[in-house]
Amino acid sequence: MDQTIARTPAMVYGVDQRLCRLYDAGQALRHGTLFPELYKPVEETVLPIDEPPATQEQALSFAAWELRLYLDTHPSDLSALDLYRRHCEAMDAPPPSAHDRWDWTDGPWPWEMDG
Amino acid sequence: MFFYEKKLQYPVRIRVPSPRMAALIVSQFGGPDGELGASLRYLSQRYAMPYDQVKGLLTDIGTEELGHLEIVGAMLAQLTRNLTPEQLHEGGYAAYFADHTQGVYPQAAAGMPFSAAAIGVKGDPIADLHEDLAAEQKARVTYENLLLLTDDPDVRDVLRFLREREIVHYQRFAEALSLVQDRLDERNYYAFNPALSLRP
Repeated sequence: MDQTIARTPAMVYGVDQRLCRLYDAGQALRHGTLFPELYKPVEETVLPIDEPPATQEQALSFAAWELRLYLDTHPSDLSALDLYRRHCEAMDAPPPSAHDRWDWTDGPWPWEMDG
Repeated sequence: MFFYEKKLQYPVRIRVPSPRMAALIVSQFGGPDGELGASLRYLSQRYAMPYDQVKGLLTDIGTEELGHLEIVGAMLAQLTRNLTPEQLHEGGYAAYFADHTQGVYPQAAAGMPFSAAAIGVKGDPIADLHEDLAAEQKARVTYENLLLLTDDPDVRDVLRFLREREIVHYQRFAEALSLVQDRLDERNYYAFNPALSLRP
């Protein structure tokens, strides 16, 4: 994600998404994403005002989850990592251990044998 | 391993039962492009995926889809509660009721029981990620179709949320594909299958 990939025929390429403006936690849950640039509604759908009421816990938990998915593909994004850490603290959840990168995806994974 | 958190990712509160809608929404529970299939596909693809970050993403999205399965199950339970005898005959629901009463059973709207035939695990990172991109698009379309089929604001609110999640997942799988492309040779991405593990 940190370098531009050379494009070639016989392959398709996506567009990277970078952290910029974010919805606040309650708005994010209502929209279905933390990231305005990923919000792509069908024309005639209208956002509900506030019903049914989501809990503050649901809203925070959702924002943290969105950051987690973002970190899976952007492990070196330190501002995202820091924001995720702050969400964990707000939820009294265990924060990520490393400060220099998102290391949750590091191996070994449980099904792997050594060597 | 798996833990369960006793809450829904998104609130579900459907005030007006509708067996007619339940008979359609059940497709996102056990149908070909539904949440059960999505979860099983991603969690199964993890084992042959050579790159840790993509194993992580497949695990996280596969887990989130289980949460969505639960949201759809909640919708189905609420849509089929407190029914009058007349409602049992509502469009498409009577046959389902005969077999399952008000139980939540994983099947397609057309009645076929859940089948892994609708999911793909190819054991090649490029093929598997393309499968995942397509799966998210198909799920998005299904939610859009369901949105066209109901005016109920309580139902629409949840469908809208679930649809947006598919778009976000689509973006993450595209980023995962970039990650894989980065680790292969752009002169020939297909020179070998990095997931292949053969004895020399």
